Amino acid sequence: MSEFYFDFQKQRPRISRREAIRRAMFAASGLVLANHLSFKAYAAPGAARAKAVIQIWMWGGPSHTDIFDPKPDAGYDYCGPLKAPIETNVSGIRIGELLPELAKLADKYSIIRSMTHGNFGHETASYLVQTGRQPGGRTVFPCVGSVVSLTKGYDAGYKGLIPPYVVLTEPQGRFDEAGFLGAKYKPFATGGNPAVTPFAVEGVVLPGFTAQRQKNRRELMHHLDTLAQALPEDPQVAAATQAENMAYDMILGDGAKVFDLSQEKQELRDRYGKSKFGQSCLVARRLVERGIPYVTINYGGWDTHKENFQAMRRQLPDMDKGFAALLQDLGERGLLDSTIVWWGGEFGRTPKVMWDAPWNGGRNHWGKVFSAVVAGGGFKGGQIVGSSDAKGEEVKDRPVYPVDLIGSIYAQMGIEATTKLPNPEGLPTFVLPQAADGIKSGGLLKEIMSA
Amino acid sequence: MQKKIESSRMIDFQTTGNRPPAEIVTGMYLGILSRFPTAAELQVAQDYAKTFGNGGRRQALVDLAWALMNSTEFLYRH
Repeated sequence: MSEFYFDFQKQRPRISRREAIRRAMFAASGLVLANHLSFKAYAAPGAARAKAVIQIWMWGGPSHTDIFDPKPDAGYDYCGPLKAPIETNVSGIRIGELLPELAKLADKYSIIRSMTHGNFGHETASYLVQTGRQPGGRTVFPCVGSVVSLTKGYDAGYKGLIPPYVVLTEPQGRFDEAGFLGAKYKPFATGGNPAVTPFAVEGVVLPGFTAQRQKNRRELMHHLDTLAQALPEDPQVAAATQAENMAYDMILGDGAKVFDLSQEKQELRDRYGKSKFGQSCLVARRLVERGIPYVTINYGGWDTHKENFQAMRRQLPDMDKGFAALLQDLGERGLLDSTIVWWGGEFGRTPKVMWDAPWNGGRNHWGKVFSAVVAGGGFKGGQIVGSSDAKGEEVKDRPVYPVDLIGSIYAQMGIEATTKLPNPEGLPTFVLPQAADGIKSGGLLKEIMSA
Repeated sequence: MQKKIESSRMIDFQTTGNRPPAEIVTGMYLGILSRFPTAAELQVAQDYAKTFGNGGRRQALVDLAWALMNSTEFLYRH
């Protein structure tokens, strides 16, 4: 085992005394990234199953016990009115009663019920869940989307017009996706609302402007471009013309088309649901179809401190419909094998309901145990990973830390754990933490990764 | 950008009173490219405005301002 956990091809370096002591400590706690043979084995190049990730980011921290980890026997103080989980099409798997569509597709996804990191703050937990690193260090690491943008984007031969990392519709805020990688690796935020026609994508679709007027304007500009006509051979003019052509490909050509949901059948649009989330799922499928490797749907509204159950009844039907339609549609188009769908937020919510005012049946932040869902891209469906205890308050078995899930996603994407990140301080930094970082790990999700 | 052009005070100014179209186009050229339009340019701009009719004069000017600001000459000068 090397100091750089994942770097098995190099010779073993000497282990320092400090490192030996550190490892002994970790071995005692038994919870630290210890066996990176497994990380390495799965991250072998050529083994990539997945070409793209659709991340459904449940901003705010969705209530695990009301959604994918119901605890009907915990009593009213834990379940509130949502005490009748429903059977799915996989025998033995039950999910929250507000998810009838997802219940029909449990064979397509796996539920991790033992996600944990013990962090209770939105910003810090968002960072932890999406970078796998402990917050508060002097280095701000990039999240999964930015790492994919680095390793599968323009630097890796991606030539698409649409940037390789897209967020529908707003950036996460309170969290710098790209970290030290910088602005180039931040997501392209579409803005607008795909449930409204036209979907006014920032810088692509100008509301109230017909394509015809755009074309007329362009013609006017060409007629008036006296300088360009006078200098037909000038390289700077040529560069400007090339930039103009690209811009028009974006606003009148392929770029705008990918965001134009009127090209989809109404029946399919309805299947996704008319909500902003549902239509965002449809846009995500269209983007993945065109080869965009990472799409985040930034789905807010899950920070249900107050009146949690009303929020669940209001919001879960939209989530159910959109998520289920996405899985089904990807499956029907043969895209699910190569697309990872990752559902989850920064943490779960307090399993014991706060009935008193001002919460009135609310739930607080809960980082001790929560759920995540993965489907496609080489992840098996119809499985449950780990479990929480009878009330959904602690991990019962098989803890899964953020780094385990992220490492598994990288493995499916063929992103090697030894891939270097351009650390601004010149330190050796890799896409996954090293042993010395002391990150807790429960190991890769081998049980749900297709061999 | 579009909103800025649409709420432009220069366009307000050019469309107040009943100036002849050639004078308006000349004013726009002076304002944006700091030069007088050529005869050909004057013709193109006026022909473009005609396609909008009388009610669309302002919209035509918004497009003209947009076209001038997106021209290579604008990039070169500013």
